[in-house]
Amino acid sequence: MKGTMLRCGVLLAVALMASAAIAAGAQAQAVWSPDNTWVFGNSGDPVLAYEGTTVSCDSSTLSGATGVSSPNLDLEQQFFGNCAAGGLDATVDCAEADALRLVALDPVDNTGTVDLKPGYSCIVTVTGVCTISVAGPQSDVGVFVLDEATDVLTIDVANAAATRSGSSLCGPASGTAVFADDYLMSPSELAIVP
Amino acid sequence: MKARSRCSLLLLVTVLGAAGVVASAQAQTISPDDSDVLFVAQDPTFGGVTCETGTLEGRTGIDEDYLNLELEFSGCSFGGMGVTLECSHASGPENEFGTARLRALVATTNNGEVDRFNEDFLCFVAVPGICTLSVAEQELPISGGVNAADLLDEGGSNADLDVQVDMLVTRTGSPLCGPMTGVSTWAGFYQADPSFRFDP
Repeated sequence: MKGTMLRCGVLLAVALMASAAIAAGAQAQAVWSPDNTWVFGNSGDPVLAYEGTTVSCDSSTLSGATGVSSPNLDLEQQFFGNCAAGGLDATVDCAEADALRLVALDPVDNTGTVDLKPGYSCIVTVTGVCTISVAGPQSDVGVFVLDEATDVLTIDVANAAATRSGSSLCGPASGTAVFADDYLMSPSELAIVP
Repeated sequence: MKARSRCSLLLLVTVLGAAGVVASAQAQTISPDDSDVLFVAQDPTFGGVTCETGTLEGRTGIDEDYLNLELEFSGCSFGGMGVTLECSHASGPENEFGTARLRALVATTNNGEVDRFNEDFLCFVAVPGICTLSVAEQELPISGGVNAADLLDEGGSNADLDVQVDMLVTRTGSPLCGPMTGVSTWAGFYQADPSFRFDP
């Protein structure tokens, strides 16, 4: 009887330890650091493209705040200065919303994926020709990597769905928008940690 | 003596055979002779421009295998925007300037081609505020390009000149309209008069 109870106790202990280990592993996710901190990024000469139509602007910014032990960093993206598409004047208007979500996945490589939350909207207008629109929600539209040594955040959006109205010179009525750029981020303490 | 006779016979046969080949290569003619012709197409395309109608107009020669044609388009659009596609007018003897030259190739199959845009040929479209596109005189077919102007249903009530011609197009202005120089196609089914024929 004693032997049976002992074996049962050992089994229970092993099971509890295993469960704890699994739970600990599940919680070892990447999160943004430091908590509750305002972050800002600036990029020069950003370029967007839609099905062969390239739109360039003078600068772009990202702004938003980290949460508390959160893998998500929700940012507002804006484009500034002179924008042009195919040598023609253009504007890029993005919604004032923290809707570009960077989901931290790997605290070793400092990488993650990009989502467009509800409320994300960027509209490119090529004056007198067409408009190209990208809107959220869309998940996993690209990837990012944060170089903590240089504070450069590289965003590579490769498969955001977009639509076009106006002239087909700007591309098909629906297609894929891409965007890749390097943002110099502040504060320099911004990091992805386990 | 017998050997010389056989040799002469062989030579004669060879010469006659060669003459036959040459005669066959030259046998295509466009008919009827010395007549005005007008072809009309619905929804032709030319260099990325789509039009509601297009016409080809010319005058046949006498026992000629070619025909110089003036191009005209109306109701055109480019990238969804209304545009005017202007082409040069025919001038000179046999309309040899400003025109496209149609050539009959094989009378038995009614295959033909547009073998060049003649001297002074120009088709031009301006997309206001964006770009201009032009197609100028050039030898055809271009390297690796499609070139056909086949007469379908010859003599029938649905006789068509089926034009598919790749050509060089140049662009100024915005690259939204395409590369500075590129290949684009002229395509259309041009309804032909039943009397128009590629004859042996």
